[in-house]
Amino acid sequence: MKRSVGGAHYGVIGWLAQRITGLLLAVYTLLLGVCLWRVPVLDHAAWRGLFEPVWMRHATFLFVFALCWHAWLGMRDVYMDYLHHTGVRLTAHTLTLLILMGCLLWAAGILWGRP
Amino acid sequence: MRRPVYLDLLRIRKPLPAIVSILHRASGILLFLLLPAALYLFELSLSGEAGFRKLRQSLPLRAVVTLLLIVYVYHLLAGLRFLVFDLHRPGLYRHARSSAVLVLGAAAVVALVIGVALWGGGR
Repeated sequence: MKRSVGGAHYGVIGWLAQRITGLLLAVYTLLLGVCLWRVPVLDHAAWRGLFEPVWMRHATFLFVFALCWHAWLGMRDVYMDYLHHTGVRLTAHTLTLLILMGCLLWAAGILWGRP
Repeated sequence: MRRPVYLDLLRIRKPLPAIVSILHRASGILLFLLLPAALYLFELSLSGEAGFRKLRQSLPLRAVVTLLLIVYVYHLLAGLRFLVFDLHRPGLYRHARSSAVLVLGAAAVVALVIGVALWGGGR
């Protein structure tokens, strides 16, 4: 049986995903910044109007998705560094995943939940 | 030989890139903890005219928005700096300190702009 020290390279995938999602977050932030810049007066109608187009809702949902993935990878690294008790770390992992999945569903509800 | 050696992080002198790195991690943790608050504020802002006005007029809510934005911008700028270093181009690390200064400076400027935009002009 052929074995390699690198294993299944899950770590590399996570490492890469952290950077790619980070880049996506930066691009969306720039996009939203430009959109806000073009709004003459930022009242409720203008703010609501920003998130009216379908493409913007999709982009925003992808942003939240990338954000949750990015947060998961980051918090996982933090837990690995500071939580040395396996049970505590596993609990933190589980709670974090649940919170992030809840946030993702919440965001979907905000973007599409009301007429 | 005594191992392991624990460094007292509060007592050793830290170079600027280390401070930028620690703040990057701390800001990331804070952003994760504040994510539900951010979603609540986003929901409130889109909920209707009343919610939007409440967000504008409530001082605590505006303070949270300000904190979120500043911490987010810092995390973003410091993250972009790390992305550049991930390119591993030769000679890049000569700019470790100057880029750390750049990140802190740029974050301070953006924080000032955010502060003025949200708190200046009696909105």
